[in-house]
Amino acid sequence: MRSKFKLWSFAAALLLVAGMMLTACGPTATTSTSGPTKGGHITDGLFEEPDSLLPQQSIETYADLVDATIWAPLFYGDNTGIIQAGLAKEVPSATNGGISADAKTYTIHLRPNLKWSDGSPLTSDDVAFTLNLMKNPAYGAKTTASEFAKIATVTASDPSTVVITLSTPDVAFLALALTDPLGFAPLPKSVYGSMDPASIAKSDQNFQPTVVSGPFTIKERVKADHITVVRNPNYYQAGKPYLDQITFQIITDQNTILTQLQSHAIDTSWFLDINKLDQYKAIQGYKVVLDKAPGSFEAIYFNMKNPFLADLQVRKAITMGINVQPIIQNIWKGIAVPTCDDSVGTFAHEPSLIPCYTFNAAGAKQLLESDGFTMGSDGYYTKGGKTLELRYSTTAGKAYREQTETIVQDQLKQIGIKIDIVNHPADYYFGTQLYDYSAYDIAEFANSLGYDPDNHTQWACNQFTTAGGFNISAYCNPTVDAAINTELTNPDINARKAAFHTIHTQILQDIPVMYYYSAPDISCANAKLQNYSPSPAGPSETWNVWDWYLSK
Amino acid sequence: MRRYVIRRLIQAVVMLFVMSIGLFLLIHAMPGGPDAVLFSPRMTAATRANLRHQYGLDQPLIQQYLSWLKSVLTGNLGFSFASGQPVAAEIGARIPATLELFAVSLSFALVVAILLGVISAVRQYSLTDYSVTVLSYFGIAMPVFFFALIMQEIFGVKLGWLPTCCRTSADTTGFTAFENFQDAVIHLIMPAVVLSFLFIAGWSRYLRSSMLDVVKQDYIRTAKAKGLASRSVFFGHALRNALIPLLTQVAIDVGAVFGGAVITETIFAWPGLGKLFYNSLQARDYPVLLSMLLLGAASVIVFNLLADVLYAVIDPRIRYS
Repeated sequence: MRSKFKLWSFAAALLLVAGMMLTACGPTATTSTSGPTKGGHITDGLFEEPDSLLPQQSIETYADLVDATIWAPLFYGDNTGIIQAGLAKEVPSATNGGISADAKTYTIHLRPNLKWSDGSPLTSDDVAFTLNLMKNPAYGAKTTASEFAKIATVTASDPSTVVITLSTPDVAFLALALTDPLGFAPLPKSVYGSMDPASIAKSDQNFQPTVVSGPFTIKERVKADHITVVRNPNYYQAGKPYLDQITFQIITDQNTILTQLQSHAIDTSWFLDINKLDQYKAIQGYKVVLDKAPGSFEAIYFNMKNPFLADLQVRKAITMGINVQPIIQNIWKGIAVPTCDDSVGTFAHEPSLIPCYTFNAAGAKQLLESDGFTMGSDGYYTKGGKTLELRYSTTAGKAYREQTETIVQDQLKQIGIKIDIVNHPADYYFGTQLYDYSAYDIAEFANSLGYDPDNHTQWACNQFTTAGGFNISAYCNPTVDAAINTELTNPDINARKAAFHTIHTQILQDIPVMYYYSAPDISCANAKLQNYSPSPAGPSETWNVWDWYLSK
Repeated sequence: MRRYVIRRLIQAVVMLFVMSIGLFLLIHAMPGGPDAVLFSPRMTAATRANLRHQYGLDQPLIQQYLSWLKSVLTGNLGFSFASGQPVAAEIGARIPATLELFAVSLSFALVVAILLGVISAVRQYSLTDYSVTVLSYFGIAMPVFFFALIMQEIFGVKLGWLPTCCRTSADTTGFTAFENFQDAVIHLIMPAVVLSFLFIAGWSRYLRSSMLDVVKQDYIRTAKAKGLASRSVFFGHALRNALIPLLTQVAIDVGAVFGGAVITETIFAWPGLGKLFYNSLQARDYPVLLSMLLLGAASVIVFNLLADVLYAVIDPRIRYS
């Protein structure tokens, strides 16, 4: 009898647990409208642990995210993709004389009275030292070393002026090499000047820099656990940051990040899982924040070395046979938006090109038949005795991509094209597979160009992967090459916009790529946290961390 | 016994050497490599070449292995490709967290497994026995990550009794020493219980079976015939003998400690060896991976030897020649 009671109790407990798990959470709290208040601690859940906290020593966004709290860059990008002045007094341009007409000389003026966190002066000498350090292969700059390699000379003409001369014209130099802390932030010469450049990445400074310039300084770092930063009293923006302390807690599991948010153990987390969007929305006292302007785009690239895909009619039929709407609505729950160019999040983005693809399955079949394809008994088209069969590759383990390719596989089956899904681990895919034209036919992945729309490594005729570039479509068009030359060498923004328009429209005609959508990154934050508005590029979540404050 | 231990130790050294070759080749056979994970496409050829040289990746495979072996034998495990920090420091920083988690969960598992195993054996074929059996199979069959998620949902989110991750609170500013201790204990409960669940399930079945074997032995019948109380027979004679095989099993399981508890540590963001292993695997961080795998293999070998020795020490019938 006693045991029976225990069984009933166990069953009742199970029912109770199931009931609790099914109970919906409360509504999202509203945000406060009161002005900035100083003080307060917050905790941010980081999905990856930063490997290095020195500029150019990591390629991780999560490193950039923490870097933005401790390093002040010369320039930073805001959440609309516009470059703003950081330590520099203003953003150099052709108009204000900061960029020479030949796009080879950049003159940068620093703000007055800049200081390192230890109170010592931050001068142009530190900037020049760091630029030369980044240029040195022994330092091992990991993100945009190719930009630093173009530096011919760096001169600190006075304590607040730096003149950089490039060996070749580069209008994107400012955006690619000098913007955001992961790209470039001056290092204190007093600390790093006496170190062997090759030993810096192996030093304790790589793990926990001691003298910094950002809004915060590192109070404590425990490997694999957390990084705590506290207010830097010598930060150049007087009165900022508003928060006293931020702790970055390393939580490398999306389910645990969700439970930490639900239990209010962390205040914010960035780059969250689309499949949990409804659960984030249901957390009481928290808000879901999407990028103001998405900066990345998902696309499929056609390998034109494949005889079928070398045929424009086949590529066109594929774009007519794929309906992106179910992917946007069902997988991305309506938060993704279509795009018809690769310049999303930059000044060259052209929403006016949308829509660029028309779903028309019957038309796609007619197009293939007029191109000489005949329907086989298995429901797939053939030509020259070969079935129209293509390998579709993407990164393994990404649920939304795997769902997308299943939808696409089904849609293309309807127009007689057989798709074989061949996925790979991300590192192998990006590191090896995409550099081998014989390894894929259609490749899907997301790309983000940052603050400058230049994407010549993907479209220029001299950028085939066999030549060291990233032209994975094996695409070549002299019109596009001419426009690329203009956008790479002309510092005038209107001339560049026109060049990008030419590139965009020509690519839509030639179809080496089909753009699926542009999706925002998802963040969830304590509703009391104000000015929290992640950027699609650079340090993303923390681009304006000095402005964050907790409302009362 | 001494000769046996020395012989086993010599065998262990040979085995570790052979394993080091196998593991080295296995790791390098993985698709991708540190170049693909750690280097950016925008890196210059000179920088790429320089880094490859710094990491020793430009050497022939055999040369890479010999260089690594030489530095390991001189006590230098090298530098992590991912963080640039010494491998010994990377591993050393994680050992306390993993030891803490394993010590608590294995101790807890041992106590609970013995209790359940004994109860189940003593009341064989009773409702209690069936309940324990069902729960044990449930524990063995239940994926760790799923059990962890349920625990997090109930005790962390719904009831709010326990934190769902990490070794300590993110912000311990102003905590007293006692509050820090309290904070550490409360963070340990959930991961320790989750990790112990599998051990409890397995060990309790092991002990039950062992107990049932022992109670059929002649010496137990003799003890009963002598008129000893049931409690004395079970706990004084049966349990002590039944524990012998369990203890060797426990010793072998403890050997897995240096592999860390990858799933539990990842789900609970526990800064231990399991999480380091997972991250290093993702980053193809060869020096860290090799050192961890070898350390794990050495740990298994040593604890297996310990189990064998323990067996002979506890059971006088066992003799190694």
